[in-house]
Order: sequence, then structure tokens, then C-alpha cells
Amino acid sequence: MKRFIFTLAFIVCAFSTIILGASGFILWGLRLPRGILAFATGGVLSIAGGVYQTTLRNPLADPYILGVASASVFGAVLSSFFVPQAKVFFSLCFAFLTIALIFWMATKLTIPERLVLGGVVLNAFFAAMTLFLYAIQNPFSLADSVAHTLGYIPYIPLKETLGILAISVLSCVVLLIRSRRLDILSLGDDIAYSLGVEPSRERIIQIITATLPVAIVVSFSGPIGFLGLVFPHIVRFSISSLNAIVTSLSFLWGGSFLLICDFVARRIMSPAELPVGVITALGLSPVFLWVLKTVGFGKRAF
Amino acid sequence: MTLGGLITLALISLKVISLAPNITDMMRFMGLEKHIVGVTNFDNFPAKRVGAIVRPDVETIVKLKPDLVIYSPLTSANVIETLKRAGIKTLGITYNSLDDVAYSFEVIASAISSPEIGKEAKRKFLMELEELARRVKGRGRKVVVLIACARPTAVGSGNYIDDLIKLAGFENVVNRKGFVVFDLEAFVKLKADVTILACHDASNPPFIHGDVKKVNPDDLLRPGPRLLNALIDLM
Repeated sequence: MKRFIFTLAFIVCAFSTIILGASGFILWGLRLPRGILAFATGGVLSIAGGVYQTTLRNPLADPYILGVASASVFGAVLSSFFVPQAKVFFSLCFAFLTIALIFWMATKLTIPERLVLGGVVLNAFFAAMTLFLYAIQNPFSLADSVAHTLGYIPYIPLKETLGILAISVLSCVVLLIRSRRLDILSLGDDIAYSLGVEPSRERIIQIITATLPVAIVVSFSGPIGFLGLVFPHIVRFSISSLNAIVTSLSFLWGGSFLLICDFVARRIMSPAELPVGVITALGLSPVFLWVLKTVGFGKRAF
Repeated sequence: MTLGGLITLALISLKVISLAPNITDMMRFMGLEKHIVGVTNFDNFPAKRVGAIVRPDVETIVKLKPDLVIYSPLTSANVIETLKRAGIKTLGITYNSLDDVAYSFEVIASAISSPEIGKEAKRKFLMELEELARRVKGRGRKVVVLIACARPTAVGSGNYIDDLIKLAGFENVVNRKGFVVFDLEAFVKLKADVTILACHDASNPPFIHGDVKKVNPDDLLRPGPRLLNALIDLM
């Protein structure tokens, strides 16, 4: 009950930042769509982190470990050469191309550690290509792309934001439905197989379901770090390791946290706006350390 | 009150936000600064600050209720689309060449006041530019213009700075399009007669061939009336 009230209060607190001192177009045309996008982005990154950490058996896995963000950033920078207005489209194309590559790799590399190494290769390749573009591009036309790589929540129409939220919720629901299988998968491939879960197939389904919405939100907001790495761990350390709980609470906590961070990023040096990733890392580092310390004493953090 | 009077009244009350310092400079050059209600944090003009050039704060802009927002290619397309959705008129200017810079006077003046003011400003700007360029006396000397010094980043062809140094009679030794980052070896091999430094970073490249001329980077990198000051620095 205490945790339910905490989660509800967190969500209410996060969404109240949208209405603070806003009315008319500022509320409906700017704050609401941006707020919903921030919530969906935070939620999607957090659940993807949790899924990756379990399926890849790597506690350091974050939503970008398989190269989606690097590819998306490469797309954004590449667009500045051709059609700067089509930044999101280019970003999305390369993020989806990477998902296709991940799918192909996952079918070939059945050992999760090797899949992580494959992701590291994709990351390095697209990061190098991005640096190559930086080196040959006119510095004046890079400003927008560089801003994209820092991670900002953009203003987009309400209709598009609701679409992204719907995709995020759908992905969350699918992962919740399959959370029991993820629990089994975390016990190891042999046990999973004996319990009727085909490990390679399940890994692919889980990873692709988590990565599709990540590709979409990263194409809009750029790579926002730390959320995906930390929130699943916070839920595991403080409440439960059951993936149904990790997925649902990561989504709600991560989404609410990014919404608050976006508010702070806009306000702290207003009218200048800070990259929201700076605020997420600064805000979460002490919280995560506190959680780790509390867990170290054998207590639950919340 | 006559119809002309009404139109004048409407023009006086036109509120403009400039999203780049060079746009503000151009408006001041044309005597249109009274229309400016907002500028970026990097501007020197005393008006409400609306944030950075690339990602200004849309809420602050909307609250100022401007009639027109003028922006440069540096401003994020997402910001401009959002302003359009808010029903705010926007005007983008480009500066790929010196002709673009001169033409911007006409574009800005036509949107705020009358095309005649812009045409007159363009004529005055080009006239002063040519006069000063003549006095620089480049005499066909080979020149390299650096906009970053620690990692030598030189101005190539196909941009307004290249046009400016050619107008001043220099020959740009960097033939490649855009802006080129050199490694030191390649930079030394350029063997320019004159190296123009317009760098914000303090350190100079360790090997400079020929004469050195320093230009205030703000003068050279703000495509507008400040280019006249850049030519004065080059004399």
C-alpha cells in the first residue's frame, strides 16, 4: 500500500509540473505534448533497461547497449547533410535498421554475452561514422544535430505524442504479459528450456519488443542516459525482482522522473535549456548510491 | 487618421524576436531595433533574453507574443515548427554567400517595414564593404582563414567568409568546400602568405607560415554589418 501511494504521489507530482503557471497554448500546445513525450520516453527507456539486463545477463546493460542510440544519432547527423528538417525520419530509419541487425544477430548468436559484444560493435561502428561526419561537415550546420546527441525532449504535436505514448504502453503491456517467461529466462537457458520456454526465441521477442519503442523515442529526444540503467535496479533492490513488477514500476517511476527532470532542465537556467540527460544523471546518482547503501545493510530501500 | 497613418501605426507596434546576434545587428544597421522585443542569450542588445540560438525557450517566446520571429539556419527546425503551430509568423535567413548576407537586409526589412529600407541598407552595406575591401589590398596573396586554432579549422570555398576574403583581393589557399580541419603537417604545407586568425580558443597553431592577422571572431563569424569591422581589422 505504501509503495502504491508513493508511486501515485510520484506520478501526480510529475504531471503537476505540466500545469504549473501554464494556460492556453503554452499548456495544451507546448507543455502537455512535451510532458507526455517525456513520460513515455522515461518509461520506455527504463523498461528496456530492465529487459536488456535480464535477457543479456548483464547488470550494466542499458537501452543503448545494442547500438540503437548510436545509429539514431548517426541518422540525425547524416540528415544535416541532406534534409535537416527530416532529422527524426533519418534517425528512425537508422534505429530500425539497427533493430533488423540486432534481430539477425540474435538469431545467429544464441549466447547472450556474444550478443552484447555484437551490440558493442554496432555502437562503435555508428559512433565512428558519426565522428567521421563531424569531421567533414560544416560546423555551422551541425548545431541542431549536436543538440540532438545531447538529449533534449522536443516539442511535437499532441497527436504524435499520444501515438508514441500508445506504442510505449503497448510495449509495456506485451512485456508484462510475457514477464513470467522473462522470470524463467533469468534462471538460465537450461532451466528455461526444461520449463517450456525456448530461450533464443524468447530473448529475441523480449529484446525486439523493448527496442522498437526505444528506437522511436530516441529518434525524437536523442539518447538520454542513466534512466534505463538505474530504474530497473532500484525496483529490484527496493521492491522485487519479479519482472512484472520491475517492468510496471520502472515504466511509471522512470516516466515520472524524466518528466520532473525535463521541468528542471527547462527551469534551472531559464530561458536557457539544459540537456535533460545532465539532470537525470545528476539527480539519480545520489538516489542510486543511497539505494545501494541501504541494500548493503540488508534493508529494503523503500 | 488616414489609411497611411493606420499602416504606420501598425508597423510601429510590430514586435520582433531575433534568434541570432547577426540578425539583431542587421536590424540595428537599418534602424529597426525599436521592433526588437527578444534576443538570444548571446546577444548584446538590451531586450528580453529568450535562451540559446539553437534551442531557445519556446514558452518565453510565446509569452512575448511577437508578430515575427526571425531565425538563422542554426536554430532547431523543431523549435521553428512549434512556433508555427503557435500561430507565430517566422522568417528564416540564410548566409551561404556574401550575396545572401546582403539580400537578408531586403528580406528582413520587407517583413518588418518596407523593402526600400532594406534596399537602401543593402546598397550602403555593399558600398562600404567594397570601399573597405579595396583598402585591405590583398594583392592576390595566398591566405588561410582559421576559425579554430587549436585544431586548425580553415575556411574553405563556397561560403560568405571565402567571398569576403576574395573581395579583399586575397586568394584562399583552401580549395575544398565548406570548413576543413587540418592536421598540422597538412596545415604547414599550405604555405599561405597570410594567416588570418579568427579564433575563440586562445592557443595559436604552433607553426604559422607568413604574416599573421588577427580578426575579432565575432566580427567575422556574425554574417552582417560586423563584417565591415572584420575588414578594418584586416587593413
